[in-house]
Amino acid sequence: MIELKNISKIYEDNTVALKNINLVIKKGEFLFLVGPSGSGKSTFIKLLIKEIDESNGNIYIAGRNICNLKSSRIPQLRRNIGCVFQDYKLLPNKTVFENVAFALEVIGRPGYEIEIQVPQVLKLVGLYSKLNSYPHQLSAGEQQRVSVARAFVNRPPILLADEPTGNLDPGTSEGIMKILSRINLIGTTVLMATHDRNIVNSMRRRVVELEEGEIVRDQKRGVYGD
Amino acid sequence: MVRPRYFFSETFTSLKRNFFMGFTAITTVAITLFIVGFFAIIVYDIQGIISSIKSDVELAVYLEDNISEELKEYIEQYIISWEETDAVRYISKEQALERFKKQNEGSDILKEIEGNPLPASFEITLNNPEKIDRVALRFYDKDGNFIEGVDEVIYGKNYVNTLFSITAIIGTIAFLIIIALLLAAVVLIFNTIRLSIYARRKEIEVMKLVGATNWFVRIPFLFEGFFEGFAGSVVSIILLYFINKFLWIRVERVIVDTMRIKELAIVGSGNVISYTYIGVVVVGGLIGLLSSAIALRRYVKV
Repeated sequence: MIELKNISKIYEDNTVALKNINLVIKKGEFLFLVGPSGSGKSTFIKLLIKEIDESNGNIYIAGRNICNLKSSRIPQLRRNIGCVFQDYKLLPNKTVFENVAFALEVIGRPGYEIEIQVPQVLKLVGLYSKLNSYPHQLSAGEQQRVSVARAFVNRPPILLADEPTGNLDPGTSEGIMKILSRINLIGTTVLMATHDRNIVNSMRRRVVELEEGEIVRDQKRGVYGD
Repeated sequence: MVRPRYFFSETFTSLKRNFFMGFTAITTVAITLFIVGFFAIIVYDIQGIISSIKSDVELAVYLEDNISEELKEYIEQYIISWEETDAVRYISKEQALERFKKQNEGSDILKEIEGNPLPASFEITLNNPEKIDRVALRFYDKDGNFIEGVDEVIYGKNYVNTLFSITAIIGTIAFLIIIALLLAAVVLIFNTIRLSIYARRKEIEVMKLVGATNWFVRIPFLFEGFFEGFAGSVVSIILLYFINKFLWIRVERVIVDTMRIKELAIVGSGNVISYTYIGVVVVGGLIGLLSSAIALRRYVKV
């Protein structure tokens, strides 16, 4: 599903964020990307949605090399990859319903489909009762659930999550993880960057550890590490 | 993928929810374009006054008393043949005397006149008064003497030249002020709209990250910019309408009465006011649209 070949990323200020990364993520896998801050986790995720460009190497998603993608094709790529952010990135002046519906409007889905799909996915994340609330009226955990709903509403084959529990307390984090697991169970490839030790240890999924831009560990059914 | 309904509802909900920003933009457009529009009307009137004063400039060609009818005829045809000539009027000796008497009615000077000392003349008005120097020169031969049949050419050389340089300066200043005001308006409107887009840059980022195409992001902002420019300019022409109706038309009537000027912005026949209103709305809409387009360029690149 996702394959990285010799991927390097050097920022303009000469910081080396990723060095020679080779990695294959299979369809339907649930993968934790762990490592301390500055180890390259966010860079990794940003490369996959082409928020930034790689310095070297190739990335294949569903067999397609995204590194030579024309900029006009980037939206198409992003529509197949749901993305959850640590800071939620919800639109403050849209309601919960509108925030989620937005991801469908972007890909040109008709209104009746939006009317059906959005409530469905909001039920999945347990926020059906807050359809008409604005983000600032929600708790942090609720906002993150809206963000997950938005990422998943058009059923993308891949879901990326960058520190989705970074701002949440353990109980709330557990709720988010349950949702992500459920999404993974129905066949979605999930890649989650985190440094939340407890979550990684309790889930026992594949763990890839980054340190200073290099993969230092790749373990099936792994734990966070020492 | 044409989704007009999405874009319209997006524009209007966004205007509703970002009311303060939209309000600021609309007021900025209204005030700045009102000032530009009002000044444009004033400048138009100043130009009207200037060209009216200029067209009063006349060239008087006094003829020798013993001029033959053929030569007089010849000179008149000669004058008419020039492209600069707007009109030629022949004033006979008798008409000249008549006019002189009228102008000096009751004055002692009339008693001292014996016979008719006044010459016959051609009075020439030009379609471009600035060429008066060049036209006057045609009444001289190579040696600097008047051509046959002409006794004197009078057009207040110094007065005319001063008048033209002053009117040229006024015209230039007025033009520069209009340009400066328009620039100020454009910059102010652009900055306001840029600020309102800047305030929503996160929103644009999110749109891009969930896979919106650049046009999908742009269109609601462009609608909004256009709407703000349009609405602001409508407010400004309402203001202009009232100030014209209750204030400026009175000023113009005074100018018309005192200076015999026909063509002014409001009282003239040229529909200048309608064109000003249309111009303000077109400029307003365009500035709003373009400001949004330019301001968006930075933020759309995610």
